[in-house]
Amino acid sequence: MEDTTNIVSIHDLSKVYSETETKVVALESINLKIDKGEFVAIVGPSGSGKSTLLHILGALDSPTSGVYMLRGKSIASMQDKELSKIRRSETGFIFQVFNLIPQLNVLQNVALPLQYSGSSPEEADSSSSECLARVGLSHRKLHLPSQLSGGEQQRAAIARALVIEPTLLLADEPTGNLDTHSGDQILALFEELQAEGHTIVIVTHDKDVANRADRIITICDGKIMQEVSSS
Amino acid sequence: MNRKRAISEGMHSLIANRVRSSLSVLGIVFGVAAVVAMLAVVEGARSDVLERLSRLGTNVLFVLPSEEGSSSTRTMQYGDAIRLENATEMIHDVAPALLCSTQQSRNVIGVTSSYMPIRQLALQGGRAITDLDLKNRSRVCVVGRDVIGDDRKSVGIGDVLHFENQMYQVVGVIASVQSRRDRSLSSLMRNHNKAILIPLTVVPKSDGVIQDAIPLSEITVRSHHSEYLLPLSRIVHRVLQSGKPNELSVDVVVPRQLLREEQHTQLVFAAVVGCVAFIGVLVGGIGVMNIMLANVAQRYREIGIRRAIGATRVQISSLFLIESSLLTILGGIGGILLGIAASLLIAEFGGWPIHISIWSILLAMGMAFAVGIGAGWYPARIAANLDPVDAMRRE
Repeated sequence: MEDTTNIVSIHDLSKVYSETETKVVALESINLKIDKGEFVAIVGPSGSGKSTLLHILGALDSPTSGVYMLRGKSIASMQDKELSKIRRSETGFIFQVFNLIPQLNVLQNVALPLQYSGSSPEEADSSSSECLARVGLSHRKLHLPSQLSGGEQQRAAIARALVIEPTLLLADEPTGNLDTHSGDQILALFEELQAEGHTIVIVTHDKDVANRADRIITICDGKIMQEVSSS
Repeated sequence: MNRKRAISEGMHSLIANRVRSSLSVLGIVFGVAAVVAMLAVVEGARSDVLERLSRLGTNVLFVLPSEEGSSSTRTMQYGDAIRLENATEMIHDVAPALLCSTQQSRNVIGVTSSYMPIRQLALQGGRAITDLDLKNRSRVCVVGRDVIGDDRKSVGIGDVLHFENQMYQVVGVIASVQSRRDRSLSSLMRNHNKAILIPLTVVPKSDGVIQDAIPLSEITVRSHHSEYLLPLSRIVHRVLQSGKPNELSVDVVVPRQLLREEQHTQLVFAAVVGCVAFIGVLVGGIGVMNIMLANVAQRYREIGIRRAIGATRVQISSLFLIESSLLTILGGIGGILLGIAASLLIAEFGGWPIHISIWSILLAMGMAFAVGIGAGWYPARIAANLDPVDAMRRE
């Protein structure tokens, strides 16, 4: 069943929120495979479950039922400690609102995932510097996030996601808070990263953004409605 | 996460909220200061008592003429001392003495040969008063280091001192004694640096009386064991006081008990301060917990981000535990400094002996650290158990 080119393999995955008396089905019987080096866009209306799917892909949330294999590892049944390890070694997450820690400078923000995985401060700092150079932010290393423009903050956040050399790069509306020009730069960066061999999953409701992906998956009411591969 | 970097991150967070941090830690500062001051007083009292007891001897008691009804009773005499010495096996020896005069520069005391060993006095040179001196009524004396001679110079062996129209030749000098004012034992802890010891049989009041009738101002009794002191004080009363009119009436002073009473005052003080310390630390701990809860609530989103990029629950809780313990340790250091200052003030203005020991500092520090961990525990737990996605959504 496992194909070595499949980085992500999801089978019959569901997520049900039952905190209140009424159960809310966020995802229902999702089946999905993502190959290494693919650039996938997930689109759908608000509340369709696309963010939930991305959170499950990024080990931030666990499914209620079903199978999620990431590089052959079963994520669905993992405990919190193992999920934390997946998050700091396998998945790099990029958010709409950047989510940099305001009191830490750019370098410290980027180095944080490595610190959590036990790297020495020196190793963490040198890897982080390389990643910041990769996204063109070497000159902003010691600035605080608040001193950066939106586009620069998002590039710092991408550097933070890249610093662990992730298997899977996940982005939730990465251009949603940016002007068109900065958004274009970020998307161009994603395309470069894909060319370097990164596997990227992006959630968006911007059609122009989605059209730059290899494959567009449309989700509605927690179900995959459509999968379109661009030529 | 690297420990040094984690601590410096915690430090930065405290500095960023410095007003809030320092206000929240005030309770700890005062609590720890009270603990340090309390221990300084308790330790001071304890070592002071031990030191004074060791100087007086732990197994002696003093027999003094009773202060009540002195007009109707006869004075204590040399014969009483002899009677006492032969009364019980519990007594090692007795030192009858008569304080003849107390001037600024010299205390003339009539003594027997047992006075110096019982009072734990050593000779710096020469010899002590002997039984032979008493028997022969030799006009000799042993002097303290600070005794000034007739020619206003210090006195040496072979010099002659004049006292109430009599001449006494100096035969010995007492080794220097550390002298200190002592409130509760002042009459007993006389300054031997200014003492002139002469044989009891040559004191001016002994002229023309038989040896047994020489008047005494005190009898020091040394027992074989300090356990004997209480029964011994009852025996002393029984042997010396018949209860008949015009009979001897004495007070028995056991230094141990006297000191215990004085120590009691200091221990009551210490108990009160101890309660203040406990309340201070408790309130301080609640203050720190409160501020840490606010801290966690303010940083929900940051906690979510940290979790999202791979921090484990343990790493999140240690983030806050490091902050709360740094906070209380800094408060503890402030409290120790304040406590030392307060102890010095107590010593200066209260006149109480204090002793600041290293273990009291360590105890105070450990207490501050424990409060930090204790007060930080619950907030850290809340932080660690947050759901990453939920936490990132909160503002």
